Amino acid sequence: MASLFKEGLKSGAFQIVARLVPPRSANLAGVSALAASWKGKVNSILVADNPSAIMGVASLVSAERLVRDGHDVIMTLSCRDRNRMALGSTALGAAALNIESILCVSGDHFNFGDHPESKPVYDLDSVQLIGMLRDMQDGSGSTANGPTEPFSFFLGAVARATADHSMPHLMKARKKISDGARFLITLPIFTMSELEPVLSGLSDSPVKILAGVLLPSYEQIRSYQDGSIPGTLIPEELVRSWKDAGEEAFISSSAAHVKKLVSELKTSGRVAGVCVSATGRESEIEGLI
Amino acid sequence: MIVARRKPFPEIKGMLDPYSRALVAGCGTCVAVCLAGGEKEAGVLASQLMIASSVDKKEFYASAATVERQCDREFLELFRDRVKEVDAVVSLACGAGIQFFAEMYPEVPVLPGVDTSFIGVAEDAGEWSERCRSCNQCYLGITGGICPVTMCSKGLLNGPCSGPIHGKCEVDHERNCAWIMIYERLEQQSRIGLQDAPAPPMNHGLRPHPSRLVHSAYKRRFNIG
Repeated sequence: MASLFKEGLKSGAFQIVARLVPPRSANLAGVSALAASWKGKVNSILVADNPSAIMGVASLVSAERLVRDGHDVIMTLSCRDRNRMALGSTALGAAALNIESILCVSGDHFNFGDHPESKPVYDLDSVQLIGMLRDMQDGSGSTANGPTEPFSFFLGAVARATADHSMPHLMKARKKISDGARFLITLPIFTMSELEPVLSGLSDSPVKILAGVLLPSYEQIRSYQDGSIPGTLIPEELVRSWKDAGEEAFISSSAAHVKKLVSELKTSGRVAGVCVSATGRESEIEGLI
Repeated sequence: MIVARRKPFPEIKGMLDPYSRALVAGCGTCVAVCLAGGEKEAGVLASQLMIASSVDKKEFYASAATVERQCDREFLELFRDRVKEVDAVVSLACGAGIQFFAEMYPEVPVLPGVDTSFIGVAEDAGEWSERCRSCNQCYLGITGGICPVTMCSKGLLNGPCSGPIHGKCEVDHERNCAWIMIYERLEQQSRIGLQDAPAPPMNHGLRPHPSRLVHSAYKRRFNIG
């Protein structure tokens, strides 16, 4: 089954992706219910892979449930938890289950999560993972897959958008593209202008760029300081106004802010789509898009 | 050099509980420089053990001796007479030295007096930091002399993760992101083109455990000589 997300990007239609964090329990009923509430409103669902190094149901298993429920999915695959054998076999499993779109990430360090004493793997980095999966498709890489049973991946990666030391991040984004990334999803931005470095820096590339946006939880904002959310910098002014607002006002003003940003992104014509994350507030996503 | 830290005294004392005569064996090279297991530290530990045993009213005797290196058999040989007098040894060498000691004197328990931390450098008086993970495939030629395997918390080979904030590592906000430093160093040297091509995955086949290195020319010459 071809990825609808891939077809959508190819057609030029603005893609709306919602990020889903698999549960920390052995029950996928909530995943199915949440995804059902997004049906018809989002183009694809990005299934996270133990985000922030917090253990949950495997991204492959959650993604497969969503495919069975009739959704288009992008499966995240993190280098933090698996060596190249496990990454490759998970990706082959995804291909066998008709999951074509894979977001290749290095993965937030264990220090952020609930198992800080784990051994960090990082046998491959995200660039190398993309390269390995690209090669696996035609059998030129480390798998014995022959041309008689072709499969394909639609590979993507994360890109850091902001102006904070943008050049090293752009260098890495270019490597991801040269190794086979066809789409990039930025880390969360909070204003359109934050996208400028990545959009201008990669303007000569055919890669499709989706802007990441985040509807933060009140807890994330209350305890926010630069660096407290991996890879995410919230503009100082916004943090101050949200911190000062109190919980109730924050909930409505943050939703209004993200809704406006999504709408600006949609009409800007500068990005191929948007990927909406909402820590603990996933049920609000359908109202933002 | 190899950097180590001495184990906490209660842990060493606990390991020695079943024994009554111990040799504290110092090593005069790396662990002496990082103040964990040289001649002075061996003497101090032996004295500490004696004082503690007298407080505990336990019949116990500890003495100290230090050799140039515990990672060479000819130096370890110098301990032979001392080992005969004890029923346990606490080695303050790095993990390699402790094992070599234990291999040479299998008749006596050799206990670790330090935790071996890393291969590193002296940053400042009393301060050391890691620089090398002995991956056996040095990348420093294309990374501006800054090792991504060691200095990047994730050991990434192709650029920064998305985590650094204001140039600092997402894991330790006090430490500069290795890849931002690599980028800036290469740019300063007009060598950033070295990073155009993605680095392939590390070849872990080149770092089997345990590793062995044979210098065949030297071996040949030594054996003939």
